[in-house]
Amino acid sequence: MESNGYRILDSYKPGNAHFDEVFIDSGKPKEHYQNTVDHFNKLTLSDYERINNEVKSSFFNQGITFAVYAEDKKPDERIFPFDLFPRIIPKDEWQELENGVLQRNRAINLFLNDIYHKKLILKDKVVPADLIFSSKNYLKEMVDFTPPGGIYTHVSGTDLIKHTDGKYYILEDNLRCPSGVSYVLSNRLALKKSLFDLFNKLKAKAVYQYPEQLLEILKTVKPKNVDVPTVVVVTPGMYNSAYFEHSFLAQKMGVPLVEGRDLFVEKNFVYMKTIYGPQKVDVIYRRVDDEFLDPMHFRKDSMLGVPGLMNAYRAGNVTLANAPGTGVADDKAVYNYVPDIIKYYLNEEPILNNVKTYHCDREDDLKYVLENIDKLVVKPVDESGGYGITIGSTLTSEEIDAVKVKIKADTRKYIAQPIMSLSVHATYIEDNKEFEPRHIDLRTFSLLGKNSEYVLKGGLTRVALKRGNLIVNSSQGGGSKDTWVLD
Amino acid sequence: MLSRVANNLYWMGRYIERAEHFARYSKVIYFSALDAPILKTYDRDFVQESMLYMAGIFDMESKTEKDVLFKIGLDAQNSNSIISNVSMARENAHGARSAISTELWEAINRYYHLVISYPVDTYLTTGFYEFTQMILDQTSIVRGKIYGTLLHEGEWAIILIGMYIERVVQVIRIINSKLNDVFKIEQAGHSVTEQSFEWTTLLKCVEAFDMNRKHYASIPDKNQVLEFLLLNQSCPRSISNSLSGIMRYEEKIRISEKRDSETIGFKIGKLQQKYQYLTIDDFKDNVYELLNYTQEKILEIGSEFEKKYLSY
Amino acid sequence: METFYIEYTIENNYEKPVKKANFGLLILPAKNPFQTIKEQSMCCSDGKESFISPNIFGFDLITHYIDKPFTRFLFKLFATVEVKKLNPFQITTLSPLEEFAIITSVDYQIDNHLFLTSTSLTKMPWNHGIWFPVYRSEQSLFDYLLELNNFIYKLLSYSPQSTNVDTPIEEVLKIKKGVCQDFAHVFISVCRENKIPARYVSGYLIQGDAYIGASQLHAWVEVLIPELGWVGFDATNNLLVDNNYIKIAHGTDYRDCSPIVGVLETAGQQNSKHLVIVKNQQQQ
Repeated sequence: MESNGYRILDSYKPGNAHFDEVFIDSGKPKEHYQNTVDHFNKLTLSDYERINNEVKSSFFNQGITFAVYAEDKKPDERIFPFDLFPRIIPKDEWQELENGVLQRNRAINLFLNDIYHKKLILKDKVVPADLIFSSKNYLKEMVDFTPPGGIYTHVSGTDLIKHTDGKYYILEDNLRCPSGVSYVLSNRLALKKSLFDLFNKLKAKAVYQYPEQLLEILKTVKPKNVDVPTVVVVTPGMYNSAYFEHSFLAQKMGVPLVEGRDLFVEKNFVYMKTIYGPQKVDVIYRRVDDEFLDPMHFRKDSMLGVPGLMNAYRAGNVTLANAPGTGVADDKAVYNYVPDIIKYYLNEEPILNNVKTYHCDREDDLKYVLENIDKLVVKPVDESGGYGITIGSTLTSEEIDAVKVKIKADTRKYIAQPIMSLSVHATYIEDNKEFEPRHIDLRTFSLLGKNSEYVLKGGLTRVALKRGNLIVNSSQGGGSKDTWVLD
Repeated sequence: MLSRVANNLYWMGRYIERAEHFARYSKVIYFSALDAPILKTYDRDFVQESMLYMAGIFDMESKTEKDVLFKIGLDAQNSNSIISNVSMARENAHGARSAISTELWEAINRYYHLVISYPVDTYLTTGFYEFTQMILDQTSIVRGKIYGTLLHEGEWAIILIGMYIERVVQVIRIINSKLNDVFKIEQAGHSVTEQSFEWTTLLKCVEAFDMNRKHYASIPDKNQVLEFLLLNQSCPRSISNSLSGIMRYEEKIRISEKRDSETIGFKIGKLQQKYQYLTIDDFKDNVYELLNYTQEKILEIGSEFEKKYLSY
Repeated sequence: METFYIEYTIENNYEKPVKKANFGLLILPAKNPFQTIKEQSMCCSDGKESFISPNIFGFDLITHYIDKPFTRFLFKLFATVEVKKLNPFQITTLSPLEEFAIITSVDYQIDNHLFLTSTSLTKMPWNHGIWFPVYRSEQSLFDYLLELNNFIYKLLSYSPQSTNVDTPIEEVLKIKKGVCQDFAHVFISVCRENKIPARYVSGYLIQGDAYIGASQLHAWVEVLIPELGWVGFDATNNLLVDNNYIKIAHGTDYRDCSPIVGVLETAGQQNSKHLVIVKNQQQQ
């Protein structure tokens, strides 16, 4: 208790080598964390553990779990680890982030519209045409087709980190089916229950509006001649690792959660099979990848898709969000051009920084990469979820040689970036029963509709729970924190 | 409502109900046998046979008590075990996750986790009562959430149709199973008083003992018990009451139909009417016949219901 | 002006009942300035009227959604098409050098990228060991294409059933045999290697005049020639496309033009029969 002088954050040693979000070097909390640190210091360790366990069992009962798939094994159901200590972002710092994210989304949307129509940015040689046309995510089905409202990226997730210099850097854009937003809302709910006192002292911006905003955005891009659109969420099914999120969003929006097999296309209209017969569907928030959408067009073996969906889409009778073919813009090789893309379409300076990126298909870059692998992170351009990432500083010389061979075999497939130093945040480590600095990043969620845009205030702070680990993805042992934007 | 989701809800209802009947039957049979008056015929083998009969298992090789308890309770390989039924209920709820309330989902999910994490050792040694009682308690919670947290519309009605169809099926099985036991005892030449113990057990198997007492205020005998469990409209697990339930909830989701004897509504209605105007004297000599007929009809109604509303 | 009568029949028989199916048929003669459809009728075993809508390249796609179990799918098309006489030997006013400059310009390459990007069916293997003619600025594109047409005609021998619709070029060049799709894919591939926009065309070919490949749907290639537009080459017959050819559709490769695409729910095998009849009206 306080009376005997023990305070649970006293043993915390700030991560001096990295940017510590909570404390300054002397161990004093930063101003915007003062209330929170005081609050935690009033708790005994057993109080803290009790709250922590309550939250954990509440997540478990809610089924906020994800499945980890490994070859030859049954999927393993786990709770998404959650840390009670919230990440706090001051108002002004957030405003700049929000502006930067929106700027980026607007530019990317214009870019997609351009590369599927006039291709001016390619003709002006700002972005190499080959890079676009050789991408497997560039879809001929989208050429010269304008999606309703001209919107491609209705939902984007932008991954950011804070480097040792205290500045935010964009790590990557997620323009296909970014997931994680359900965790943001669930985390907030859990924290409100367990730290309600603290909410009285700090005013954190609300996050619960996201599903309503998403539904509104989806309605703005309804097909022509539809008054009140029927909106559905399409999921690959309950065995998908993000099924919790799909059902969460459908339920919070109050719309049906459907699978491909619930839908069919007749005469270019999409219907769902209900107990009273077919019902027309107008807007589909789909959480199924492009290549599985329509076996008539893409993968013939897809059991998740709807035969004829692309024709219905191109006929303008149904809206898909996000539009197919947006993956061409979140390709890690295109990432490097995003600052130029922003300047090209918006005539503005990018608000948020990119991380320096080396493209292995460029001779000079390849040479640099091969000579400096130990200082770089090597990533395949077309994978997500943290798969295939190699961090040079952790490799033996044999492993480095193996990576070199891999890169040389397919140079278009790899990019490399300097090892960015993710900021650290005080995080409770159950095994050691104390708070320790752990690396974090931030995924923001933004929505783009016809004449409307929205950014979820805060986003998902992901934390790498293993000491020294830089990969924060849940499939790689990462957890999350509630993120508070101060009012 | 999506047909696939309706299918999930219907089967969720059936599995929840099924797990409850299995657990209750096993519990009652097992514990009432411990001090049964006819110890000689009522030995452990007899009890195990009865439990296996109810669970539809006829091909067990080793039949030690532990094997039997494991098989019907926590054997995930046995698709008829309690754990399998609860898993299937949860799986179906998961598939219909966005169509049911958070409260109902959490109740089912918690139920499922309690069952799958129940230690096998404890179950086989000291926990059999606690485990089966837990199933009954969790079922009550889930049933409460079904009534209290869903709009009394389509989704709710479909879950209940599933539960009531399953109830008819299981109550018939329970009665059959007990008639079977009594037949063996009769053959061994035991008295009517000794048989009354069996009728008491049967009532307990469907949680109807106290209700029966209240209604008749006398020691239960065969005809009285059968009248109660088949025909009594007020007894929540009687066949007659369950058929009314199916009819009531089917009407909730029915869209206008032609007057046609082939429709589901017609078939349920006819069966229910038959029970409304039946007396014990009509069937006391032919109980098996009536039970078989009802079982056949209810399965037919179930499969037509699936075809009409649940196929996708 | 010549008038052709076309009959196309497809019959699929299934071992086990098909629960439901989606079919897309790309078999209707295209509407363009060279060919006019005078009459057209079709019927399908599902008893429903065909639904026609544009595919991604704007060609009429017939679709049928069937949700009642069946074991046989039968579709018939009858059409009468009027084809304009045209002289395939057209002359451009551009010098070879001017032509070359246009073709290799960035904007031209970008505008026609769909027909310049290699696909899995038109991907040229790196070690085929064949000296295909190379397009140079000294030669007119048209002359080059005639040379290429002749080269491929001689390189491959026409051999029904030697390949299937998924056979990659690598295999075709190894066995030096193929059907019209393979001739077209090889032609397209060489063009794209030389940065010349080329597209796959499916269509009908008049029967009875000793053309190769007329008993089934035929395939040829269209190449974009500055000033002239898209010009058709048929390497299978070493011919230029003329009024004996009736176009259905074009695309980046066979997959954009397959006459029938079906997605079905069934467990068993199927067997498939196609019958094509193309007659000059006078022959009737």
